[in-house]
Amino acid sequence: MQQIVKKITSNSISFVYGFAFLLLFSALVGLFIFGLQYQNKQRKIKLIEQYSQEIKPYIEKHNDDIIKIFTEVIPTMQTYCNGYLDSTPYNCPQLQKTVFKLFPNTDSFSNFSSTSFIKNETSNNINSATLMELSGELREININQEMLNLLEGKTNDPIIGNFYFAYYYPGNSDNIQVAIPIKNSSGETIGVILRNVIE
Amino acid sequence: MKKKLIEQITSSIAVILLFLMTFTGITFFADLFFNWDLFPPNVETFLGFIMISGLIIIISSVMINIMINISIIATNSEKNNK
Repeated sequence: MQQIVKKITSNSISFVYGFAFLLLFSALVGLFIFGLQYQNKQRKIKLIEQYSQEIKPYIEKHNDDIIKIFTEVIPTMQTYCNGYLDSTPYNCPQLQKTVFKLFPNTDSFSNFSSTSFIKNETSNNINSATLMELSGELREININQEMLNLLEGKTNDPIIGNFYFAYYYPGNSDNIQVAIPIKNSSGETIGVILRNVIE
Repeated sequence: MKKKLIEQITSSIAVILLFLMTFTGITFFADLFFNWDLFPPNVETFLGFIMISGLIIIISSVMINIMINISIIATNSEKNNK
Protein backbone atom coordinates (compact mmCIF):
# COMPACT_ATOMS: atom_id res chain seq x y z
CA MET A 1 0.00 0.00 0.00
CA GLN A 2 2.79 2.35 0.99
CA GLN A 3 4.52 1.64 -2.31
CA ILE A 4 1.38 2.47 -4.30
CA VAL A 5 0.95 5.78 -2.39
CA LYS A 6 4.62 6.56 -2.97
CA LYS A 7 4.27 5.85 -6.71
CA ILE A 8 1.13 8.01 -7.03
CA THR A 9 2.87 10.90 -5.16
CA SER A 10 5.92 10.55 -7.35
CA ASN A 11 3.75 10.60 -10.52
CA SER A 12 1.89 13.69 -9.24
CA ILE A 13 5.19 15.47 -8.59
CA SER A 14 6.41 14.61 -12.11
CA PHE A 15 3.12 15.89 -13.58
CA VAL A 16 3.36 19.15 -11.58
CA TYR A 17 6.98 19.66 -12.64
CA GLY A 18 6.11 18.88 -16.26
CA PHE A 19 3.16 21.23 -16.21
CA ALA A 20 5.23 23.98 -14.54
CA PHE A 21 7.95 23.54 -17.15
CA LEU A 22 5.40 23.73 -19.97
CA LEU A 23 3.95 26.93 -18.51
CA LEU A 24 7.41 28.44 -18.11
CA PHE A 25 8.38 27.44 -21.64
CA SER A 26 5.14 28.88 -23.09
CA ALA A 27 5.71 32.13 -21.19
CA LEU A 28 9.28 32.32 -22.48
CA VAL A 29 8.18 31.65 -26.08
CA GLY A 30 5.39 34.24 -25.77
CA LEU A 31 7.82 36.82 -24.40
CA PHE A 32 10.33 36.01 -27.13
CA ILE A 33 7.73 36.34 -29.92
CA PHE A 34 6.44 39.60 -28.42
CA GLY A 35 10.02 40.92 -28.38
CA LEU A 36 10.60 39.93 -32.00
CA GLN A 37 7.28 41.48 -33.05
CA TYR A 38 8.46 44.72 -31.44
CA GLN A 39 11.84 44.43 -33.19
CA ASN A 40 10.04 43.89 -36.54
CA LYS A 41 7.91 47.00 -35.98
CA GLN A 42 10.92 49.12 -35.00
CA ARG A 43 12.85 47.97 -38.06
CA LYS A 44 9.95 48.87 -40.36
CA ILE A 45 9.69 52.34 -38.79
CA LYS A 46 13.44 52.83 -39.17
CA LEU A 47 13.48 51.75 -42.84
CA ILE A 48 10.45 53.90 -43.73
CA GLU A 49 12.08 56.90 -42.04
CA GLN A 50 15.45 56.27 -43.70
CA TYR A 51 14.15 55.73 -47.25
CA SER A 52 11.52 58.47 -47.23
CA GLN A 53 13.82 61.08 -45.66
CA GLU A 54 16.58 60.25 -48.14
CA ILE A 55 14.40 60.92 -51.18
CA LYS A 56 12.60 63.95 -49.70
CA PRO A 57 15.07 66.65 -50.93
CA TYR A 58 15.04 65.07 -54.41
CA ILE A 59 11.22 65.10 -54.55
CA GLU A 60 11.14 68.73 -53.38
CA LYS A 61 13.67 69.73 -56.04
CA HIS A 62 12.06 67.86 -58.94
CA ASN A 63 8.46 68.08 -57.76
CA ASP A 64 7.01 69.47 -61.01
CA ASP A 65 8.74 66.89 -63.18
CA ILE A 66 7.67 64.02 -60.92
CA ILE A 67 4.07 65.24 -61.09
CA LYS A 68 4.45 65.26 -64.91
CA ILE A 69 5.51 61.60 -64.82
CA PHE A 70 2.29 60.65 -63.07
CA THR A 71 -0.09 63.02 -64.84
CA GLU A 72 1.32 63.11 -68.39
CA VAL A 73 3.81 60.30 -69.04
CA ILE A 74 2.13 57.21 -67.56
CA PRO A 75 -1.40 58.05 -68.77
CA THR A 76 -0.10 58.68 -72.32
CA MET A 77 2.29 55.74 -72.43
CA GLN A 78 0.62 54.51 -75.63
CA THR A 79 2.06 57.49 -77.53
CA TYR A 80 5.56 56.86 -76.16
CA CYS A 81 5.47 53.12 -76.55
CA ASN A 82 3.85 52.84 -79.97
CA GLY A 83 5.11 49.59 -81.45
CA TYR A 84 6.58 48.31 -78.19
CA LEU A 85 3.43 47.34 -76.32
CA ASP A 86 3.22 43.84 -77.78
CA SER A 87 5.71 42.29 -75.39
CA THR A 88 5.20 41.67 -71.71
CA PRO A 89 6.52 43.40 -69.70
CA TYR A 90 6.31 46.32 -72.09
CA ASN A 91 9.78 47.45 -72.99
CA CYS A 92 9.79 51.04 -74.12
CA PRO A 93 13.08 52.86 -74.88
CA GLN A 94 11.32 56.12 -75.76
CA LEU A 95 9.68 56.15 -72.39
CA GLN A 96 13.04 55.60 -70.73
CA LYS A 97 14.47 58.74 -72.39
CA THR A 98 11.52 60.81 -71.19
CA VAL A 99 11.72 59.44 -67.67
CA PHE A 100 15.47 60.11 -67.50
CA LYS A 101 14.83 63.73 -68.46
CA LEU A 102 12.14 64.18 -65.82
CA PHE A 103 13.85 62.06 -63.15
CA PRO A 104 17.57 62.76 -63.67
CA ASN A 105 20.27 60.91 -61.79
CA THR A 106 22.44 64.02 -61.50
CA ASP A 107 21.69 64.54 -57.82
CA SER A 108 20.66 61.00 -57.08
CA PHE A 109 20.13 59.07 -53.87
CA SER A 110 21.29 55.55 -52.93
CA ASN A 111 20.05 52.67 -55.12
CA PHE A 112 18.65 55.22 -57.58
CA SER A 113 18.19 52.67 -60.37
CA SER A 114 15.78 50.54 -58.33
CA THR A 115 13.25 53.38 -58.13
CA SER A 116 9.89 52.77 -59.80
CA PHE A 117 6.53 54.51 -60.10
CA ILE A 118 3.07 53.17 -59.42
CA LYS A 119 -0.12 54.76 -60.67
CA ASN A 120 -3.65 53.57 -60.16
CA GLU A 121 -4.26 53.63 -63.87
CA THR A 122 -5.52 50.27 -65.06
CA SER A 123 -9.11 50.05 -66.16
CA ASN A 124 -9.95 46.36 -65.84
CA ASN A 125 -9.33 45.60 -62.18
CA ILE A 126 -9.53 47.73 -59.06
CA ASN A 127 -6.79 45.62 -57.44
CA SER A 128 -4.24 46.35 -60.12
CA ALA A 129 -2.08 49.31 -61.00
CA THR A 130 0.57 50.32 -63.52
CA LEU A 131 4.19 50.02 -62.49
CA MET A 132 6.82 51.86 -64.47
CA GLU A 133 10.52 51.34 -63.90
CA LEU A 134 13.28 53.83 -64.71
CA SER A 135 14.28 51.55 -67.58
CA GLY A 136 10.96 52.28 -69.26
CA GLU A 137 9.50 48.88 -68.47
CA LEU A 138 5.79 48.92 -67.86
CA ARG A 139 3.80 46.25 -66.10
CA GLU A 140 0.41 45.77 -64.69
CA ILE A 141 0.75 44.61 -61.09
CA ASN A 142 -1.59 43.35 -58.43
CA ILE A 143 -1.74 45.62 -55.43
CA ASN A 144 -2.89 44.94 -51.91
CA GLN A 145 -5.39 46.96 -49.88
CA GLU A 146 -2.64 48.91 -48.12
CA MET A 147 -1.23 50.12 -51.45
CA LEU A 148 -4.70 50.82 -52.83
CA ASN A 149 -5.43 53.02 -49.81
CA LEU A 150 -2.20 54.92 -50.39
CA LEU A 151 -2.91 55.39 -54.11
CA GLU A 152 -6.45 56.56 -53.44
CA GLY A 153 -5.21 59.04 -50.84
CA LYS A 154 -7.00 57.33 -47.95
CA THR A 155 -3.66 57.11 -46.13
CA ASN A 156 -0.82 59.60 -46.43
CA ASP A 157 2.16 58.11 -44.63
CA PRO A 158 4.79 56.07 -46.49
CA ILE A 159 4.38 52.31 -46.14
CA ILE A 160 6.70 49.31 -46.33
CA GLY A 161 6.06 45.84 -47.70
CA ASN A 162 6.41 43.57 -50.68
CA PHE A 163 4.43 45.30 -53.41
CA TYR A 164 5.63 43.40 -56.48
CA PHE A 165 2.57 41.29 -57.06
CA ALA A 166 3.21 41.22 -60.78
CA TYR A 167 0.97 39.43 -63.24
CA TYR A 168 3.67 38.65 -65.72
CA TYR A 169 6.89 39.10 -63.88
CA PRO A 170 7.23 37.43 -60.51
CA GLY A 171 10.87 38.58 -60.24
CA ASN A 172 12.04 40.76 -57.36
CA SER A 173 9.39 39.12 -55.20
CA ASP A 174 11.76 38.67 -52.25
CA ASN A 175 12.57 42.35 -51.92
CA ILE A 176 10.67 44.71 -49.73
CA GLN A 177 9.95 48.25 -50.85
CA VAL A 178 9.13 51.59 -49.29
CA ALA A 179 6.23 53.36 -51.00
CA ILE A 180 6.22 57.16 -50.83
CA PRO A 181 3.03 58.95 -51.95
CA ILE A 182 3.34 61.90 -54.35
CA LYS A 183 0.80 64.70 -54.14
CA ASN A 184 -0.12 67.39 -56.62
CA SER A 185 -0.46 71.10 -55.78
CA SER A 186 -3.98 70.61 -54.48
CA GLY A 187 -2.86 67.87 -52.09
CA GLU A 188 -4.31 64.88 -53.95
CA THR A 189 -2.27 61.70 -54.21
CA ILE A 190 -1.41 61.17 -57.88
CA GLY A 191 0.90 58.18 -57.54
CA VAL A 192 3.54 56.44 -55.51
CA ILE A 193 7.31 56.29 -55.78
CA LEU A 194 8.60 52.84 -54.88
CA ARG A 195 12.11 52.32 -53.54
CA ASN A 196 13.62 48.86 -53.15
CA VAL A 197 15.11 48.23 -49.72
CA ILE A 198 18.64 47.09 -50.55
CA GLU A 199 20.94 46.31 -47.63
CA MET B 1 38.11 8.46 -23.91
CA LYS B 2 35.61 6.32 -22.01
CA LYS B 3 32.42 5.35 -23.84
CA LYS B 4 30.28 6.47 -20.92
CA LEU B 5 31.83 9.95 -20.93
CA ILE B 6 31.28 10.37 -24.69
CA GLU B 7 27.71 9.17 -24.26
CA GLN B 8 27.12 11.74 -21.50
CA ILE B 9 28.66 14.58 -23.52
CA THR B 10 26.69 13.79 -26.70
CA SER B 11 23.40 13.40 -24.85
CA SER B 12 23.96 16.74 -23.04
CA ILE B 13 24.75 18.48 -26.33
CA ALA B 14 21.67 16.94 -27.97
CA VAL B 15 19.34 17.90 -25.11
CA ILE B 16 20.60 21.50 -24.90
CA LEU B 17 20.56 22.01 -28.67
CA LEU B 18 17.12 20.38 -29.02
CA PHE B 19 15.78 22.80 -26.41
CA LEU B 20 17.27 25.74 -28.31
CA MET B 21 16.06 24.32 -31.64
CA THR B 22 12.50 24.12 -30.31
CA PHE B 23 12.75 27.83 -29.61
CA THR B 24 14.28 28.51 -33.02
CA GLY B 25 11.71 26.35 -34.79
CA ILE B 26 8.82 28.22 -33.16
CA THR B 27 10.48 31.53 -34.10
CA PHE B 28 10.93 30.29 -37.68
CA PHE B 29 7.21 29.49 -38.00
CA ALA B 30 6.27 32.78 -36.31
CA ASP B 31 8.42 34.51 -38.93
CA LEU B 32 6.48 32.74 -41.69
CA PHE B 33 3.05 33.39 -40.19
CA PHE B 34 3.58 37.04 -39.22
CA ASN B 35 5.70 37.81 -42.28
CA TRP B 36 8.45 39.39 -40.21
CA ASP B 37 11.41 41.21 -41.61
CA LEU B 38 13.65 41.20 -38.56
CA PHE B 39 17.17 41.54 -39.92
CA PRO B 40 18.98 42.53 -43.12
CA PRO B 41 19.26 39.61 -45.61
CA ASN B 42 22.96 38.94 -44.88
CA VAL B 43 22.26 38.60 -41.13
CA GLU B 44 19.30 36.31 -41.91
CA THR B 45 21.55 34.13 -44.08
CA PHE B 46 24.08 33.88 -41.23
CA LEU B 47 21.36 32.95 -38.72
CA GLY B 48 20.03 30.33 -41.16
CA PHE B 49 23.53 28.90 -41.40
CA ILE B 50 23.78 28.69 -37.59
CA MET B 51 20.37 26.99 -37.43
CA ILE B 52 21.32 24.37 -40.02
CA SER B 53 24.67 23.82 -38.27
CA GLY B 54 22.84 23.27 -34.96
CA LEU B 55 20.56 20.76 -36.66
CA ILE B 56 23.53 18.84 -38.08
CA ILE B 57 25.23 18.80 -34.64
CA ILE B 58 22.01 17.44 -33.06
CA ILE B 59 21.74 14.66 -35.67
CA SER B 60 25.43 13.77 -35.22
CA SER B 61 25.13 13.77 -31.42
CA VAL B 62 22.08 11.51 -31.52
CA MET B 63 23.76 9.13 -33.98
CA ILE B 64 26.93 8.92 -31.84
CA ASN B 65 24.77 8.45 -28.76
CA ILE B 66 22.83 5.58 -30.36
CA MET B 67 26.02 3.89 -31.57
CA ILE B 68 27.71 4.14 -28.16
CA ASN B 69 24.61 2.94 -26.33
CA ILE B 70 24.33 -0.06 -28.64
CA SER B 71 28.00 -0.77 -27.95
CA ILE B 72 27.44 -0.44 -24.15
CA ILE B 73 24.41 -2.77 -24.36
CA ALA B 74 26.46 -5.32 -26.33
CA THR B 75 29.34 -5.15 -23.84
CA ASN B 76 26.98 -5.51 -20.86
CA SER B 77 25.10 -8.45 -22.34
CA GLU B 78 28.44 -10.11 -23.14
CA LYS B 79 29.48 -9.66 -19.51
CA ASN B 80 26.15 -11.06 -18.28
CA ASN B 81 26.43 -14.13 -20.53
CA LYS B 82 29.86 -15.02 -19.18
